[in-house]
Amino acid sequence: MAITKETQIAKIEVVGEYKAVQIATDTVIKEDGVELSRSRHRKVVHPDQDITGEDAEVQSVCNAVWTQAVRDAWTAFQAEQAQGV
Amino acid sequence: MAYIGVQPADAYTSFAVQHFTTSATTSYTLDNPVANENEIALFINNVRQQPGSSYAYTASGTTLTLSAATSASDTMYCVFIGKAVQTVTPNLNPVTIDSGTVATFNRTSSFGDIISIQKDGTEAGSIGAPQASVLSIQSTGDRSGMQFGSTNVYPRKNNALSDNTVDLGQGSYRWQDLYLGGNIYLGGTGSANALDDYEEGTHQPTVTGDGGGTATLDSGSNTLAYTKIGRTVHLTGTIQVTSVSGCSGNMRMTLPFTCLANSNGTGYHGVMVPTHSVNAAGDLGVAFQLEPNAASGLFFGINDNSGTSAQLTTGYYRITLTYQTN
Repeated sequence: MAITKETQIAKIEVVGEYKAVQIATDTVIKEDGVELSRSRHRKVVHPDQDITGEDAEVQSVCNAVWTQAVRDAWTAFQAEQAQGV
Repeated sequence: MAYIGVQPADAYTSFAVQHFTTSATTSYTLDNPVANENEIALFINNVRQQPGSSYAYTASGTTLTLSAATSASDTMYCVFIGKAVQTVTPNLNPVTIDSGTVATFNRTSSFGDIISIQKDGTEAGSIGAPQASVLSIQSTGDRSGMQFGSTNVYPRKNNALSDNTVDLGQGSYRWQDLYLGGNIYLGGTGSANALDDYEEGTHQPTVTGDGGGTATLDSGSNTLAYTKIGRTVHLTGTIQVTSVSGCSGNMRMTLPFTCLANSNGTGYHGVMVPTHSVNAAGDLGVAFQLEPNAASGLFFGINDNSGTSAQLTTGYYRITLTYQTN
């Protein structure tokens, strides 16, 4: 009987004007190859973030959609966000 | 071509012969019923007799009647020539073929039922073709069924397509899991009624200063749980910020999904955040404001009769937040 744990990229979604990349990662527990449980973890990366630690597939998507125009637009948008409650 | 039922038994047909034990009588019983005397050839003492009521004998059913009584010394036999006697062993698996289509039911010209399924002569249901290249399966009368279209499976009732009258399952007899790749439409059939997503999971937020730097979270209080229903995200949990050294500005916390762009009813909205062991430095409390188009929000200190102040303080932040995503 072998219990294994593996992570799988379940979804990579490109969202919105500033091409935020939403990543859903599933943690799958298996017994002898049969799935026992699956849990999901979410994170989002934006054009100004360091993605060197991300999965290669995620990096590929980010690099494809984060054009310089998108990066510049995101930087400008961030600068406008200094607004209180 | 396959057969339904037992294989035709012509090749195994044989004619039956019946030998009689004769006595002084005109009445005998046949082993097999006949329609009339012409269906048997009757021989007495090896002489063939002429059939007919005016002649040597008549027969009907299993009754053989001679025009004159035989005697016990006569020999008499008959050959059944009208009805062959077959011995057929029913095939327990009568519809069998090695390959290809096993059976074809072809209704020409009009559309409608092709196979009627009955119990004791009463129809229980049918399989048919209500349109070209369309299959339907349905119970008889005012009962349900299904029709298989090009990209839809339609409900049927009372021998016709039916809208909003047929349930899938029942309180005591439910289907188990339902796996969908598209939407569920509840309360209507428009896009506003489409539930396109449901997801449960966790998010380990990153807390930074919007002026720079990264805060440190306690490893035991660094994960938030979310439930996404359609475009609505519910986020809950507690984070403990243990260090903000090197950070400047307001604390910015990441979210599991981007916040919907700013427009009427969406965008910049915030919630008050209960805290524990947080030095609010004279503020009335702490608020968390979402950043439209981003998967993050900022913590602010709420002032009395004034604006907001930077919130960059260690402690526990108890998050219960609902927002809309793309």
